[in-house]
Amino acid sequence: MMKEEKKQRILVIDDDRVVLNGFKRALQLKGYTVDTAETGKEAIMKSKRAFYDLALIDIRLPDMEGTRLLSEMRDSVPHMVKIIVTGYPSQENAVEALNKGADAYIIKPILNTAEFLGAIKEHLRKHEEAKKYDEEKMVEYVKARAEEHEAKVSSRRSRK
Amino acid sequence: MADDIEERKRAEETRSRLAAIVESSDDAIIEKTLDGVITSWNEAAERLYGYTAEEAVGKSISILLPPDRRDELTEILERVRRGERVRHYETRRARKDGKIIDVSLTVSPIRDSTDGIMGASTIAHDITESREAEERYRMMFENMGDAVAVYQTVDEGQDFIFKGFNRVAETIEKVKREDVIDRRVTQAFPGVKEFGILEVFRRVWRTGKPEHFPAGLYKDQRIVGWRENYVYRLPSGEVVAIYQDITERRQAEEKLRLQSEITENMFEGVVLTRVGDGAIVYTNRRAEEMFGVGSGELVGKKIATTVATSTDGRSPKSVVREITAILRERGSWSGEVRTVKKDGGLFWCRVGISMLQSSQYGAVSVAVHEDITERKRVEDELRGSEAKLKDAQSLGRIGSWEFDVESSKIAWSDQTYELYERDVALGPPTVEEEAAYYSPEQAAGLHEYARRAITEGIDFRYDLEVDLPSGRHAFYSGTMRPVKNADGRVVRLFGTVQDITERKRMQDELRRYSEHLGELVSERTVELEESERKYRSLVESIPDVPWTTDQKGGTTFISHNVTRVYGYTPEEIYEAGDTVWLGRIHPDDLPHVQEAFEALFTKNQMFDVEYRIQRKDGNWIWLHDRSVSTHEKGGVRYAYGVFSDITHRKRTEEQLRATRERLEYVVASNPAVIYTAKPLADLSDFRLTYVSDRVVSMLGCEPHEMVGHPDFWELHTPPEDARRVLSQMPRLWKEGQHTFEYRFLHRDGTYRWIREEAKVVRDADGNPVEVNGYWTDVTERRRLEEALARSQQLAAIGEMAAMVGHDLRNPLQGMTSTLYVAKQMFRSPKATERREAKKLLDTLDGEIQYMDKIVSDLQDYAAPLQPKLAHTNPDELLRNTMLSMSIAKNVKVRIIGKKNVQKVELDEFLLRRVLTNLITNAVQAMPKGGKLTLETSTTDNHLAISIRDTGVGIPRENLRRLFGPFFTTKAKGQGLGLAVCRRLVEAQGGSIEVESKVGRGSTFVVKLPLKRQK
Repeated sequence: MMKEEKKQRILVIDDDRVVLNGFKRALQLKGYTVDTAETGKEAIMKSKRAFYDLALIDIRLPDMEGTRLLSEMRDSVPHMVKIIVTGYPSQENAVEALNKGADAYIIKPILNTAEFLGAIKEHLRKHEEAKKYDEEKMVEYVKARAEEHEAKVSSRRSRK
Repeated sequence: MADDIEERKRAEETRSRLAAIVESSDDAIIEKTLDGVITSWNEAAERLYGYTAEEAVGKSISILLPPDRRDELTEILERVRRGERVRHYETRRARKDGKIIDVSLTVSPIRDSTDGIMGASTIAHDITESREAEERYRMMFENMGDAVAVYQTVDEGQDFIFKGFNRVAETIEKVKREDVIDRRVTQAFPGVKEFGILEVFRRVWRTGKPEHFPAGLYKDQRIVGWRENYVYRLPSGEVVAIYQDITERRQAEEKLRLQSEITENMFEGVVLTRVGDGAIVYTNRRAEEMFGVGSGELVGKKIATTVATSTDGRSPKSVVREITAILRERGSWSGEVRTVKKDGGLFWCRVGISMLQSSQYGAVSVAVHEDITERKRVEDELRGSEAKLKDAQSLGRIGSWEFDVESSKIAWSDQTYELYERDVALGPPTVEEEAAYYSPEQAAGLHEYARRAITEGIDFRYDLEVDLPSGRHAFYSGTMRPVKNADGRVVRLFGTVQDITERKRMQDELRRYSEHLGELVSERTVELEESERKYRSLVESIPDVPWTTDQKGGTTFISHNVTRVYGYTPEEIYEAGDTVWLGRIHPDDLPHVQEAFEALFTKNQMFDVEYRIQRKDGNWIWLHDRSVSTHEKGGVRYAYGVFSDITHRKRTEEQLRATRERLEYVVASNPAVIYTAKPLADLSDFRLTYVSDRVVSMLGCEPHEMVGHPDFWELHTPPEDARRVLSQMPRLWKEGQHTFEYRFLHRDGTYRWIREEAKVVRDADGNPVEVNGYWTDVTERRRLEEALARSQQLAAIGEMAAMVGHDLRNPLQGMTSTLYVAKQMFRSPKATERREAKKLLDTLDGEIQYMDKIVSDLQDYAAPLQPKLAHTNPDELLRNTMLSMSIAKNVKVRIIGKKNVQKVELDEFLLRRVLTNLITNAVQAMPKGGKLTLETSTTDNHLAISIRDTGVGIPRENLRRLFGPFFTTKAKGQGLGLAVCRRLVEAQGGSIEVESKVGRGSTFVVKLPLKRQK
């Protein structure tokens, strides 16, 4: 399903190894390259050293709140998809998470793993598309500007 | 998520509402730290204790403790520290001004967010007033010897409905409370209008001014009696009559009055007959003796058919009718009547009858009987003797004689010869012969009479004692009369002689009789004097003062004991006339005394007054003065009366009235409902006998509903509450008092929480005879308490749910992911991948066990425990536990225990869980490895199992909270482990302790008792 050369990278951040291993196994099964971090610090360090397409962030970490990790990573790795995972669902948490740059908010336990994996895939696809769309727009804009420029230059020439 | 926010919002609102309630609460609410330092103090606390919040906050709570209650604080705080609540603790506290007040305290622990106890909140309620009120009320009820009736006014004061009726009233009126309550007074007591008190009720109801309704006779078809009433109006508008039955006092007075009446007449037997129907209403003892009847036998019988009879053949009825007519006309009758005894014997009485107006019987005749049978008999005999004398005289045994002075010759009549037993043939006797009949002195006397008759011409009459030839000694009466010739010279003497022996005998007899009569009379006189003396001493020994006055108020007789009461001696009073009586009466009282005194004479109305009079020493005293009738004697009208000193009674009444009024106000204004009740014979419950009117506003039902219907209470109390209350009855009887709390169905359909304080009254043998108590409505307090408890409970549940939720989610998450992967791999065609999938499934075991532990801990903590104790070898148990556990390899385990340790009663299953928990903790405390030492030992009383590690240790600040629920320092786990351990150990009667040093390790010791109390 996924082409070898386009293997996407995912960072899973949770203080519970049971959770980390579960996610890791499932994501690996889908062909993602998976890294794990048990603390916020470790996550920041890893995200600076390597590029990840997506991060799954537990909202409660031993050294910092997941939301704080979000805002820090928004600055350092703006182009990464960030999904908050929480066992303490509340509207405040959700709003805060989204405000701080989360792309999605998932409630633990995720009982339907297939759906979860589907959602990850969808997020990555959308992200790719958005990136692609942005690039296309840019090309179009440059093209348009260039044409505009071309037109101006030619008209000036024609007056002379 | 939306629900979650709503929940929080609600909790927040509840919290701020609670804060507002705290500040505006009527109950003092104080918060303090566990050291007793006050941290919060509301306005009600300031009102209750007198300290302002500024003064109190920061101080120790001990400023409120009276010296004798110093120890309480430590005890209360100790209980709070253990997480207990102290509810409705009744004690005393000192106010700022030093006054000691009764308070009811409810002290609850205040928990911080991690559920440690950081302080205590105290709700204090001043119960001084209700205590005192209750006490006073109880005293009032117990000591009230007077009848009390409470009325509600209806028809604009036209009538009054019974709302209360106490036991004394029930006794006096011979009715049951239930039979009068809610009835109109004019129906229950039809004579009340005539009695006159209805007017008083109306007046008191209108003006609110208490009134004394003096003694009066209440009468209807059912009941008759003297009543003295005090009438008040309660602030609630109800009219209260407090009254006494003074019938007996009245009757005693009546009797006393009759006695003085009787003395005046120098009575013997007394018979009182009702003029209307001629029925005897009273006989005294002497009369009963006279008529030969038993005590009271004649009462109710007609005078005409019992004692009266007639002398002249007329019917007793007509005699009675005749006497009655005379009595009506003249007021008195006297005469001698023949009276019949019960056995039919007749006897003579001298009877004096007078009319009298008796308050008890109406118009009566008082007949005073003097038995004159003896006198009559003597008189009869005398009459017989006189008749005989007459007969003798008529026989005419009179002789005559003549003496011729010149010739000295005597001539006798034939009768004379006969008298002198001399033969006519012998001719007249010579002087010598005649002298032989007489004694020489008598003969000389006769000679002298004759000489004087001849010389002086005088008549002589004389008696002679004659010795007759037959030897008879006779008495003769003689006369001699000179007969003169024309020139006045005595020429002859004419004489008569008469045998008077019989008459003489009669006369002697008569004399003897008269002498006997004298004796009888003197005997009688002695008797009478004696009875008079007895009566006088009786009169003088009674505290009341009998008196007699004329119409102007001048005293003609007064008992000597007047001096003791009034200061003046009888002599001073006689002398001073009315100035020492009417002249010394209080000006405010004088008009009605004068009016009543006049009415006594003019209208024959009973004189019964109470007035103030000034003693000789200037002090004022109260007198109760009464007189029933007047009598006429020698053209002057007199009143007989008696007065008594009632100063003490008046004063007591005054105090009593003031006290009663105050108490009535207290009862009426008391927010509590006061009741009294009688215990059932089997002590399973009690039945209400009185419930104060407050119950109407508190529960919407009427007192009579509660009192009248034995099931009323139970029908209005939820069955579980009723069961609980009844199950606490034995404690009430045992401890003498008890506080119940239960719900009661108000008439408006809502349940009210009632706090019932019941106290047992016992008789001399200690048996419960009555229950007194009061109810207060604690609904609002219960509501607050419940709201508080609910919010605390919700907070605790929320906290726990969050913990458990988080802890369960992680393993669950791991399992789901793993299962998904395993499923995918099972589908793989590669055998290696399928084997891999099986291995993955094995890893799930750990997660399942972990989740099971969380659930078990929760259950252990929340579910009720029923340990099954069995004799167990603790050493074996410890070793078995260790065997079932897998211990990290870097931990060295050492078990120390005696070989023959004695068996201990414990629950093996529960203790195993405790040990597993503690051992797991110990191993987890040594992540880098260490030594684990397990040891069993026994003291005299305890088995001790200690678990010692050489791990990280526990900081001092955590030690205190260690065994509380939801305390944890681990990233995972909900902190129930040690709380569960403590619970499991305590359920077996044991305890758990810990010692720890950071960096050195911890020792947990489980102690279980060796001997168990059965």
